[in-house]
Amino acid sequence: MSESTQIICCKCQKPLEMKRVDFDYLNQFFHTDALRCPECGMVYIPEDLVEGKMAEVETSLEDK
Amino acid sequence: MIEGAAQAFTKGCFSGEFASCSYACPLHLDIRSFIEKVQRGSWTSAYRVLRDGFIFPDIVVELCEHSCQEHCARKLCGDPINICELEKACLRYVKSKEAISYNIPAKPNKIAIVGAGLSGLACALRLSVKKFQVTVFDSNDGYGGILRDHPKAELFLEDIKRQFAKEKVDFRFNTRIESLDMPEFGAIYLATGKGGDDFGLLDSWNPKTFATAKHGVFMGGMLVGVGLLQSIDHGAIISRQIEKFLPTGTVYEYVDEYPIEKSDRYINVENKEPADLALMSNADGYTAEEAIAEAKRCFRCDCKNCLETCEMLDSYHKIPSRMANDVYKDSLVMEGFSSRVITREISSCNMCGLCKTGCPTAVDISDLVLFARRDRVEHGNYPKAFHDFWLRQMDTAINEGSAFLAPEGHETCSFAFFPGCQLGASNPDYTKESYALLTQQLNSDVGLMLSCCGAPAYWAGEEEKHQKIIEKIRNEWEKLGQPVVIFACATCARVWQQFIPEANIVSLYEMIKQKPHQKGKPFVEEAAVFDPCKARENSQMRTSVRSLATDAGIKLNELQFHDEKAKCCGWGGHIQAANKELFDKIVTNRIEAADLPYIVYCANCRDVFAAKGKRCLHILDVVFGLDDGSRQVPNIKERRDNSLKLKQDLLKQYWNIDYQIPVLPGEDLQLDIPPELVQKMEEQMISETTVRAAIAHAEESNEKMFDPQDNTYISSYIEGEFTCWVRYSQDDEGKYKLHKVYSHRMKFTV
Ligand code: SF4
Ligand code: SF4
Ligand code: SF4
Ligand SMILES: [Zn+2]
Repeated sequence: MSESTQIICCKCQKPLEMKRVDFDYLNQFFHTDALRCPECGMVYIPEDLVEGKMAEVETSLEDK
Repeated sequence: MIEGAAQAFTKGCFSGEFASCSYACPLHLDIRSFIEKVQRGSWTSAYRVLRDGFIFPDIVVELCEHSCQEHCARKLCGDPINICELEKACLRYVKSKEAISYNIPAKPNKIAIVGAGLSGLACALRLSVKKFQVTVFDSNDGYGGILRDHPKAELFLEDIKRQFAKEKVDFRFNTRIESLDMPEFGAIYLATGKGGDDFGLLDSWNPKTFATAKHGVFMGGMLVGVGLLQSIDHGAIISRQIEKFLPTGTVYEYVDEYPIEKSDRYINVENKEPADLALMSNADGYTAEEAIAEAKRCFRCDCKNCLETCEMLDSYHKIPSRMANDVYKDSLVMEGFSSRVITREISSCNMCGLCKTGCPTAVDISDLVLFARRDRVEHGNYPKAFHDFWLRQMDTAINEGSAFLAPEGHETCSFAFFPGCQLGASNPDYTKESYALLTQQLNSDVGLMLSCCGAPAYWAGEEEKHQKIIEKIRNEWEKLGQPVVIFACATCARVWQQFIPEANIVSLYEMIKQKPHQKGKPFVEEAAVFDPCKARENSQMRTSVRSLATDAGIKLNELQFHDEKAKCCGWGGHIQAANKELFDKIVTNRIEAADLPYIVYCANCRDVFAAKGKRCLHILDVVFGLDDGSRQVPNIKERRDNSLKLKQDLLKQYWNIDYQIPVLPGEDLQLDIPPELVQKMEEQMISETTVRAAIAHAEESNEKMFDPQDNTYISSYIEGEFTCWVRYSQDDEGKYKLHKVYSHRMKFTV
C-alpha cells in the first residue's frame, strides 16, 4: 500500500498502524488489514482500496 | 414468495416456444426450423426435420391440408408463407431420403402393434428406432391400412418401406388377433382403424393417458375417431406413453404441449417489411431457387420484441419468462450458500412500460420488477444503496420542501398547482413563472401543492412509505376542497391518476395553451420533441406541448420513438446507482436519436440530457423565454437550495409568510472544490452538503487524521447507506480545500 504509516490520529496523536478492520454489507461479514489508530481505533481506508477491491466486493454481494 | 407469483406476470410470454404455424400443424412440425434449413438451401437437413415431424414425409405432405398457413404471421401483412410448396420442394430436391439408423443397444421389451395402418406404423417405427422389439399384426396381406386403396398408394407404400428399411420389425400379415391375452408382450397398441375391432375396450379408453381398462393395452388413431393425420400423431404419442409405462407398469397422463389456442399467438409484425409471394415459374412447383426465395419471406417467428426495443432487457438477454423464474429462484437464496442472479437486473429497469406496448400479449416487465423490488424490501434483502440517494432527496421534498396552501385569505380553491419536486429544483423560475401565470389566468383561484409525488418510494419498492405519502397528499388535497390539480410533470400526473383517481387533473401546458402567453420565445428554429415515457398515456399533455412549441414558431420534428412509443430518458425507476453503465448508455442513445435540440416537458429529461451536453429546452423555457437550452444543470446541493429557496420566495410573495430554510452542518464553511471533484461527485451522487457536513464534523469533533506528507486531513462521514471520505486542507485564512472525495456502501466496525 502506497499510503505511508506517517498518518496520525488527531485525537490521540498516535501514528496509525496496520490492523484488522471488519466490514459488513448485506448481512455478510469479512475483514481486511487497514490503517487504524492503536488507541481509539479510528480507521483510514484509502481511495484505491475503496474504488478497487471494495467496490468489487460490493458489486458481487449485490448480485452474482 | 409463493411459487408462480412472479411467473404470473410473464405468463403470456411465448418467446422460445414454437411459432404459431407449428401449433396449427396436426403433426406439430417445427416449421421455423424446417424453413431455416430451406433458406440455406440445405435440403438434407430440411428433410430430416420433415421426417422427425411427419414420420412418413411423402404421405403427410401429400395428404395434409396445410392449416399451418392459416396461422402464419405473414398473413397479418400479406400472403402467408407457402409452407406446402416448400415441403414439396424439399421432397423433390433432397438427394437421399434413405432412413438413418442409430447404433443403440437392443432393448429386451417386446411390444405388439395390432393394425398396420398409419397410426400403428408410426408407433412401430418410433419404438423400433429406439430398438424395442416390435411385432406388428395385421389381417391384411401388407401394411398401409386404408391407404392401400388410395390412388397414390404406390408412392405411400414406398415411403413406408423406406422409413422401415433399417429397422428390424416383425411384420405378421394375414394374422387376425383374436385375443389380447399375449403375455409375452410388455405393451400392446391397438390401432385397428376406423370401425376396427376394439376388443370391447373402447368405452374404457382414457383420452388423457391413451390407456384402456386392460393393463398394458393402449388405444388410439382412427379407431378412437380421429382423422388420418392425427392418427399418426397418436401413434407417436403412444410410443412415448408405452416407453414411460414399460419400466414400472404405471400409466401417466399425457401433457398436450401443442394446445391449438397457441396457434393464434403471433409475433408483432408492425415493423416488418412486406414481401410478395415468391414467383412459381412452373405450375408443378417451385424450382430450388424459388423455394429458397419463398422461404426467405419467413420471419422464423420467435418473439423477442421487448428485448429488441429495451436496452435493459437486451443487455441481460434473458427472456421475460426466465426473468420471472429467476425472481422466484432469488427469493429462495440462502445468504452465504447461493447467490442472487437477478438483483441488478430488476434494479436496472426504468419501469417505463415500453415493453408492454410492443408485446403481442401485453406483458409488462415493470409489473414484475415492481413486484420483485417490493418483495425484496419486505424481506429486508434489497440493497438499500440502490435507492437511498433518491429516498433522502424525496424526504427533503416531502418535509422541508413541502407546502399545501389555498390562495391567501381562502380555505379552499377550485384549482391547485402541483409542480412536482424536480421542476423547481432544476430551475425555480419554471415554477414561479407558471404559478404567476396560473394566478392571473384563474383570478387567483389557484392553490399551491409543493411536494414530491412519491414516485421515488414507489420505484424503490417501498410500498408502505409510498402509501403514506399518497395519504398525506390526498388529505391535503381534500382540505383544499378537492381542487382540479394542474401538473407540469407527467410522472406526477401518472402517480395521481393511479393512486388518487378521484381527482380531476389537467396539464399545465393545456392551461397555458388556453391562454396564449406573450413572452414566448422560440430560441431555436427547429427542434425534436422528446416525450417522457410517462406521457405515453397522456395525449392531452403531448398535444398541448406540441402546439405551444409550434405557436412559438419552432419547426418540430418527431423522433423515431414518440407519443405512444415514447422511451424513457433513463431517469425512470432510478437505476443509476444500481447500473450506472446502462444508465449512461440509455441517456446517450436518447440524445443521439436526433441531431437537433430537444424540446422536453419533464425536468428530469431536461437535466439528464443537459448533463451530457445535449442542447435541451424545457417547453417552459420557450413559453417564458427563460433559456436557450444551454443552461448548466444544477448540482445536487444546488437542487436542494433551489427547492427551498423557491418555497421561501413563493410563501413570501403570495402569503407573506417568512419561511426559514434550515441550516445544514458546514454550510458556511469557506470551501473550494476543484472542478474535477465537482464532476466526480455528480457522477457518484455525492452531494456537496455531505462533504461540508463531513468536514464540519471532523473539525468540531477532532475525529480526523492528519497526513504530514501533504498536510491534509482525512475523515469519514456516514450518511444514509453511504460512508463518505474526505481529504482536505486548510489555509492560513481558514479556507478549506477538498483534495479527495470517495464513498462506499459497506460499513466497517470501529
Ligand atoms: S414481447 Fe417480450 S414478453 Fe412479450 S411475448 Fe415477446 S418476448 Fe415475451
Ligand atoms: S412466418 Fe414462418 S415461422 Fe412465422 S408463422 Fe409463418 S411460416 Fe411460421
Ligand atoms: S419497463 Fe421499460 S426498462 Fe423495464 S423492461 Fe419494460 S421497456 Fe425495459
Ligand atoms: Zn485515535
